[in-house]
Amino acid sequence: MSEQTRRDTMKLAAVAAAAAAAGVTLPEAAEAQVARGDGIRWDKGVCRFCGTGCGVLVGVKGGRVVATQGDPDAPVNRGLNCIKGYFLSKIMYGEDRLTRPLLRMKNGRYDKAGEFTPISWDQAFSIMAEKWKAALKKSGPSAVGMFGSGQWTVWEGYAAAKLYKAGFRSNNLDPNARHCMASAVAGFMRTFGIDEPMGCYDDLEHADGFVLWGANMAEMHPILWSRLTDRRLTHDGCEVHVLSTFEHRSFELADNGMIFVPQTDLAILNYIANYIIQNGAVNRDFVSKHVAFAHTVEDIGYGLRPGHPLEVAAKNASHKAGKDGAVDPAGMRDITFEQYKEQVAKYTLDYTAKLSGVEPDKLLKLAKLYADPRKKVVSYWTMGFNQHARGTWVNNLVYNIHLLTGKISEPGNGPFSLTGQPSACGTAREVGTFSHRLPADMVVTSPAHRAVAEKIWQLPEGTIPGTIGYHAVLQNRMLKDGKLNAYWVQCTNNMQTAPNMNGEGFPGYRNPDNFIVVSDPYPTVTALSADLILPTAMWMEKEGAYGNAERRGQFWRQQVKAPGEARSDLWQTIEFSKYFKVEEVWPEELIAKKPEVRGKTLYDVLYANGTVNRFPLDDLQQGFDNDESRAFGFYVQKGLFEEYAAFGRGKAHDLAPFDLYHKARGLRWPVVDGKETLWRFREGYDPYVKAGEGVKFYGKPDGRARVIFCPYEPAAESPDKEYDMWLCTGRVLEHWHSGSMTRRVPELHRSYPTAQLFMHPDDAMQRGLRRGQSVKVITRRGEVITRVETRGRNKMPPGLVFIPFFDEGQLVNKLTLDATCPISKETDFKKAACKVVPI
Amino acid sequence: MTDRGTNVCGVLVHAVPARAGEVAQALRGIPGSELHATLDGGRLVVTLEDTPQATAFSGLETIHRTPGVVAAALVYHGFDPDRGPAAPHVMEA
Repeated sequence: MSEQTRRDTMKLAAVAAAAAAAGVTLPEAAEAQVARGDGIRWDKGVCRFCGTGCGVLVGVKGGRVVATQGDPDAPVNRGLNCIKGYFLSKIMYGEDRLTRPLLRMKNGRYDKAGEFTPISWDQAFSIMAEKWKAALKKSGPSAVGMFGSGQWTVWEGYAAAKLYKAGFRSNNLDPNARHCMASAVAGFMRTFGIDEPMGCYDDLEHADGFVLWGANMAEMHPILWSRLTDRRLTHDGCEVHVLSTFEHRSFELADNGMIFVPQTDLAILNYIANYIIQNGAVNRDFVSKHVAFAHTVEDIGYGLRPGHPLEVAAKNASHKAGKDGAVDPAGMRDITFEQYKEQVAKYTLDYTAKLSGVEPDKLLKLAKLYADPRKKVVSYWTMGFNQHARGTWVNNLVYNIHLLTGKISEPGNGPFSLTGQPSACGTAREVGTFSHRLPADMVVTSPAHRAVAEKIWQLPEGTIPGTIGYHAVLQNRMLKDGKLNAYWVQCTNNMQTAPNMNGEGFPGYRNPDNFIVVSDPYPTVTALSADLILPTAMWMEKEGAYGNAERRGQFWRQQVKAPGEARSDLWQTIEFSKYFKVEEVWPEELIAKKPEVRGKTLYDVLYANGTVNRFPLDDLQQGFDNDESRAFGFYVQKGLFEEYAAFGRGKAHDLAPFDLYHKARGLRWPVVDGKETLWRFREGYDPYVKAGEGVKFYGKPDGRARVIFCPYEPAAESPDKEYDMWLCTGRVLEHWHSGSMTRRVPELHRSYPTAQLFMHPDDAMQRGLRRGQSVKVITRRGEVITRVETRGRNKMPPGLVFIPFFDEGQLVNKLTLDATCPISKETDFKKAACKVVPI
Repeated sequence: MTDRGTNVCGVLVHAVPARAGEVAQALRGIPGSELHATLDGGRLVVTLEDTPQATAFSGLETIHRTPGVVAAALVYHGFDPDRGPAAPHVMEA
C-alpha cells in the first residue's frame, strides 16, 4: 500500500471513530469498515497512564502496535481518549529500550564503580541471589527490600508481596503509591475502616455541584473532566468550585475559583463544617444513625528524621510514640457532637478568610453549596490533598463535610479520591504492597490477619513478620544509613521522584554497603543509579490487570512481544525465587513447623504450591502470546489472581472469576453473584448492606463512620527572609509523571522539551528576571537551573512558584524536603521554601 | 516526512456551544487539521495529520489551547514510527 493510500485509510478510520464516539455515523464511516480490513488485529486494552482507567482498542500488525482507539464499549471513557492516548503505543518503541541485563563491572567482575556491561539473566539472578543471601545472613530480613509500583499489574504486585512478606520474611516492600495515594488510604481507614471510594464515575452525571480540592482535572484527568464539563453545560444550576494554590486550566470552567495560601485548606475545611453546624444544615437523622465523633492526636511532627528540630519540638512525633507521654500520631479519642462543634467554632469566616487569603464571599459560596440540602455534591482531589504534611487530616476533613450533611454513598453525592497511576488501587492498595499491609485491607501488625494470609498461602504459622517494614521515604534513609543493603526497584523511577534526592536517595543507592537492582524498560535516572539493570517488558508486551480509582478491575491480553531479552516484572520476580532454598532464608524453628518444605525452593513454596500453578496452558487466551505462562508451564496470571481473590471474597472485596474480566470492560468490586457495586454502604446498591439497614459503614465494628476533628497546623517549611517563596512541584498535560515513557516520544519531546519555572510577573520583575531567562532555584537541600515562565497555562499568585518534575535534566527533587504526613508517610511535594536568583 | 513518521488522529472537540462557530474557524488555521462535521452541543469531528509545518500532536495541543474549547478527546490514532530524536538523557546527580 502506498504511503498516501495508507494515510487516507487511516484518516477514514479516524473520522469514523471520532463520529462514532459522538454517537453519529458519517458517510465516510461505511468506507472505514474497509479500513478495518487492513490486516490489523484489534483487541481491548487499558490505558497505561493515569488512574482513570480508560479503555483503549489496540491495533496490531506485523508484531507491532500500529493504531489505538478509544474503546466505544468502555463505560469509563465511551470511545474517548485524552491527549496521552497519543503516546500510548509509542512508549514501547523508544530507541533506547533496554534489551539485556546490565551489571556494573570492572575486569570481568561486579564492581560498584564499574561500567554497565551486558550479562545473561542467569548471571544477573546469580549475583542478586549472592547479595540477598549475604544481606540476610549478616543482618536478617530487615536488610532486604523492594520498591514497587502502582503501575505494576495486579499479579506483579501480588507475586512481589508473596516473595517479600512470605519468602524473605521482610515487610520492607513499599510502592510508589506511597508518594501518591497513602494519605487517601489512611484517610479512608480512619474514617470508614475500609479503603477506597464509596462512589464511582457515574456520580459525574448525577451531581449538581463539583468541588476540586487540589486537583487539576482538566490536565491530569481529562476524560473525567470532559464528563464533568458535559454535566456543567447541560444541567441547569450545576456549579464547579476549584481550589488550588495557583490558577490552572481547571479554573476556566470554575464558577468559583479560589487561590489559597498553602496548608490553609485545613482551615477552609473546618470553616465549612462550622458553617454547616451554625446554619442548621447538619443532617441530624443521618448523623445520629451513622456517625460518631472523634478528635485526632495533635502536634504530630512532619515525618522527618528523628533528630530534625521539627521532630524534636513536636510532642507526638512518630518516633516518640509510647515514650514520655507521647502517643501514636494516628490516634484519636471519642468526643461528642457538642465537643466537635466547639472545636470547629474557631474557624469563622473572618478567621479563615484572613488565614487562607481567599475572599470571604467565595468561601461563603463554597460553604453554601455543601450546606444546601437540595444540592448533590461530589468532591474530587488528588495530589494537592494527598501530598501534604497533614494529608491524612485533609482527607478526614472532607469526609467530615459529607458525613455531617449525609451527602455520601448515593448517586451524585460523595467524596472521591482520584488516582494518578493506573493500578494504585488495584495493585498497590488492594493487593497490599505497602510495608504495613496484606491483601484486602489487612495489616501485618494483626496476628489474625497474618494467620489468614498464612493459611491461604499454605505457610507455617509465624512466617509473616508482624512489624511494619520500611516505607518509601524510610527506605532511602535506611539505604543511606547502611541498614538496607539488598534492594530491588521495579516499574518506577524513584530516584527522580522521591524527595530530597541529594540528601537521601542518591547517597543511599551509591552507598558501597548496598547492592541496588532496577528493572525498567528504559535507562532512567533510577536505573543509571543502580548496580544492576534488568530490562523489562511493558504494557501490551504482557498479559495484565489494572484496578482504577472507581474500584474497577480491567484485564488485557498480551498483544506483542517484548524486544530482545526484556522480560516482565512478573517473570523476573518469580524466576528469582528459584535461586533460594527454603533453608537459606527461613530459620530452623519455622521449617520445623512444616518439614516438607525442606529442600524446596521459594519458587516451589510460593508459586508451584498447588494453587497458583493449578491452571494449565490450555486455559490461555486463544490466539495470544503469554510469555510468562509458557516459561513456567502453567497459566500463571490466572493462578495468582484466583489465589489472591480468596482474600477478599465474602469480605466486601469480592472479585469476579478471572475469565469474566477477559470478557467484560471492567467490573467494580465488590462483585457479588456476577453483579458489580456502584455505591458502597447503601442498601439497594451494596450487597453488604442488609435490607432495612439503609446506610451502614460496615468497615467500622459499630457501623458508624467517624467525623474526626483535625486542626490547622502549619507546613513543615514556609517562606522566610532568605528562602522567600513557596515551591510547589507537579505535573503537566503532555508528560506523564517522571517522563521516563513520554520523553521517549520524539514529537512530544520537540513540543515540550524541558521544564520551566512558572512565576508571577511581579515576582519576576522584583528579581530583575525576564520571561525565558535562566535562573537558579535554590532550597536548603539543593539547586536546579531552569527558565522562568511568567505566562502560559499556570498563573502563579505572588510568592509561589511551580515547577514540573518530568524533566530529568532538571531534577526538581534535589529541592524538595522529605517531610511526610506522619500518619500516611506520604511526602509533601507541594510545600517547600525556595529562592530564585538570576544566573 | 518519512523520517518523522506519519500520524493521523481522529479528534472529538467539545466547544462551548455558543462558541462552536468561532472554534471551527480557528481550526482552519491549524496545519493538517480538517473539520468533518459540526454536531449539536458544540461538538466537532476533526482529523489531524502531520504536515511539513507541524505534527498532528502539536495540532492536538493547539486545539486544547484554543479559546472556546473545553475538551479535545483523541479517539483514533494511527501511525508509522517517528525516527527522530527523543529526549537526551543526562545524569547530573
